[in-house]
Amino acid sequence: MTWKRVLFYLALIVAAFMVQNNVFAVFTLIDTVPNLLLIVTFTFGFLRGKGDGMFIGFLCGLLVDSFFGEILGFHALAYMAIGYGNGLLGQVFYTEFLNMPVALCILSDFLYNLFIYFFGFLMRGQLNFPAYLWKVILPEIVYTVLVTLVLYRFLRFLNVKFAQFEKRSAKKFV
Amino acid sequence: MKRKSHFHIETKHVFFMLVVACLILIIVSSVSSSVNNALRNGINTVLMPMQKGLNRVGSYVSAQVQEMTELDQVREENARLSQEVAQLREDNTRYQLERAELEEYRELLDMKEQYPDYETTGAHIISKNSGNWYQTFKIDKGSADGIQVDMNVVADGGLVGIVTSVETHTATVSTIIDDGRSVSSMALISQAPCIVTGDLLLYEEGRLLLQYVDKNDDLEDNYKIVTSNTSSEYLPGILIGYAAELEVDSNNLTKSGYLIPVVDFSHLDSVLVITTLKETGEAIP
Repeated sequence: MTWKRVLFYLALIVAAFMVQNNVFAVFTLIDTVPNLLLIVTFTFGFLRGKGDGMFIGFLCGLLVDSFFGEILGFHALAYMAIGYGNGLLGQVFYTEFLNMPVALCILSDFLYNLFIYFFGFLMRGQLNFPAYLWKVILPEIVYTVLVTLVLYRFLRFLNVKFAQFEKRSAKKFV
Repeated sequence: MKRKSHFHIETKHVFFMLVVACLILIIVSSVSSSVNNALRNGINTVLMPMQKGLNRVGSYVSAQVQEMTELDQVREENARLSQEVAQLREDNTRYQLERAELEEYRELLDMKEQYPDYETTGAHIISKNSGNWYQTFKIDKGSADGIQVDMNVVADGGLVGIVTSVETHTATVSTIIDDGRSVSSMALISQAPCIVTGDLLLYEEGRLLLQYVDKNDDLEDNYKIVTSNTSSEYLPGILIGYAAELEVDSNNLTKSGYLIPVVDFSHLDSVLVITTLKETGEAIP
């Protein structure tokens, strides 16, 4: 991974984080916020492979942890595993398959929320999983899928453009 | 120019190492909170200005949208409120007289004022927790402005939450609606003790849990619930909300029900931080 790519990812993550914590929090239409960081993580994990996915996931999680969490590394672990897992899926599935981002989004968001429910809530004796599924996890998945439909194309476009830019600047040095 | 190093690690090994690193971080940071303070401070200092700027844009847009929809409503409300103000003004003068009288009596009884006016400092909310699981937010004042951990946060005349971590220019506030956070409280008049606990599922209906009330205590529906004198973190006498739907528990010893908070948590944009800390009388080492 080049330094330019690292900076590119950093800018993308920070932008997603800012938007997620502000504009969406202001417009809480159904009291649920779509998980933009997750979209960035699984999209790049899927398109660029497990290494990039893992790196982005780790940074996203660390950002969330250091901003709000009291325990460092909790979200980092969750996001990182999702980035890596989507990298593995990217090796198996064809990237242009139309419904792929939606399927990835549902799977990733569900697993992510399951992880938080399991360690953050079940461990404290909150056993009513169906209620959490219905009231917290499902709304988030629906909202995140809706945003994915728009954002995935944009991120894929950015990915292609950046790859071209990288190629061009690499040629300059030869 | 090809500069390929012979040193090469497979991605899965890096992944494994990062997992271990995360686990170590989790253990270390849950044992001592000072470890992640450095990282927190760094990241927050860099991101705060951007956050503030973007927040302004977000609030501006939402204010525009709201303005359009709410203009009629506000007009109606304004008429109603101005009537109410007149009424309140009248009441207020009466209360002021009564208060003066009360103070006189207090002096006579040589009683200390039990609920002093706490000193507060205003702060804006700059961001809300992105996840849908935790109800925490950040404010734009930190240790440089005298904010400390465990300071109480109020808004709209009711308890909002408590400061859980402080950076130089920002601080994180955990709200009372955060799942699992409980506040030792009591009924305002009868002083019957109870515990108010936040619950993610209940908050969707705008309620909190109200538990552990003695069956025979004088605490009924619609009673005002305030923070208790015996709480270790919260200052006494801060209004939390109103009791509702109290029922005797199956153990036939206690009763429990719901609490409707006075603060509208979904429309908070600024809060007051009480700069007085609760004196817990801990032994000096």
